[in-house]
Amino acid sequence: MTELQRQVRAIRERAAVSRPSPAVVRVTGEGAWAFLDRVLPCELHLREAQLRATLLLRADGSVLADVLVGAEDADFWLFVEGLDEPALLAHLGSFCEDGEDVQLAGLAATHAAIAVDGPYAWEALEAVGERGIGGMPYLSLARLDGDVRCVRAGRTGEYGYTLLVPHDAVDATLSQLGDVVRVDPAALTHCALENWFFDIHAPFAARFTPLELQLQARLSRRKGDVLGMPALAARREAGGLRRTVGLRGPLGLAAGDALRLDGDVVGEVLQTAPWFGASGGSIGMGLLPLRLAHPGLDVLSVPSGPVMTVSAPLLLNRSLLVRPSRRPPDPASLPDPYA
Amino acid sequence: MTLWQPGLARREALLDEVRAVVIDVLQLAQEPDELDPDAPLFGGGLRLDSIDALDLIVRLEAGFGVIVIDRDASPAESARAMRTLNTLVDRLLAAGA
Repeated sequence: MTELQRQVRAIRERAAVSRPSPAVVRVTGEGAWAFLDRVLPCELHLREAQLRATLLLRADGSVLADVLVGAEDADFWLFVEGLDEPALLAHLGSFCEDGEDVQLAGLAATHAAIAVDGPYAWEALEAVGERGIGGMPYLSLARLDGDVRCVRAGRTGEYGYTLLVPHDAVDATLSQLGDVVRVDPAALTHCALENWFFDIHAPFAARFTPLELQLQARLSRRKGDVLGMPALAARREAGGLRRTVGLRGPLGLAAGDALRLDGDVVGEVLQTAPWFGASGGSIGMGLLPLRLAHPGLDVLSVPSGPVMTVSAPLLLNRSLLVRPSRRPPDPASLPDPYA
Repeated sequence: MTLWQPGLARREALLDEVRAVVIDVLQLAQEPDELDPDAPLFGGGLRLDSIDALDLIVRLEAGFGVIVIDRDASPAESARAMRTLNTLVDRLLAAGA
């Protein structure tokens, strides 16, 4: 078993800890809602403590950053991947209008992030937070003792929590989590692909728009004036769109491979990873014209062999079968995620 | 026309029909092609809740005349079918729709 496989198995079968570095910005002031409504391409009707997944776009419609926006009292929180804190503050600051009552405060100087992912991540988390915290709803934000915030989200398809902890409490928090496997970003990237979660850190991510990347649920048609949205409308109007699709192929499947049909190049492979199921080979994400971007197409090929398009997610998450509110099942009784 | 095209056309037609049902059940303002086929039905995707899911299954079963989720299905089988529009289409095709 490789080190990557060991770490991925920990995420899929138990719980794993990692140290992400999202840019976290708190938006306060009387004008906070109106400001974010102008900046973000999603609806901002959020209940208290609710989070919504959205994006920041460039003017050409391509994805600049992966965003979770949350409401807490009259304030908003932005949890952002793909931009560091100075770049995020500069980007947001460019939308501020003279006299607008909006304050932007980054958290990097005071807090650091600790993430826990896996079907039993909630169990590990309860050693840190109050009892029951593991059962917080998906896409929600909780305020814990000690100026700690907990975000329930994740990008592995398993239970996922990110704790924002004061710098001086990081070591103690890691210690409280106990004997949880520490995983690298590569293992999380692997799991994101298996579960078809958008990964802003993938090398191809900045090349494409939400139309290709199947991220339209993060946008609102009502937000046609937000940066990047006019470009998306123009692309829809022009037609000829392409879309990502799941792939299964030989071990030699590689990012950058041309996808061929009857000898003609019809698409490209964007990302690949070894498949850890018994059948071996590789999984991947391809890009095809809409007319071909459907699962079940078994006539494509790459230089190393035939490729088939498949439905995502590519595995069954144990987290779908484990409930924090109930007695945890014996892990041995759960199906193999890769079966 | 090569052999794979009829199957692909059937799949595309089913996807369009499922999208129309989802838009109706959830009362969405989106156009059908704005519902991405691999976007999650729950959570950060189309944000269905369990009531929506039940309504969606009833509507699909009535519309296509097939069992989408067998009442005796294991939790794993049900979970696998209800993840995305594409997995729902997989299930409809397997059920003979």
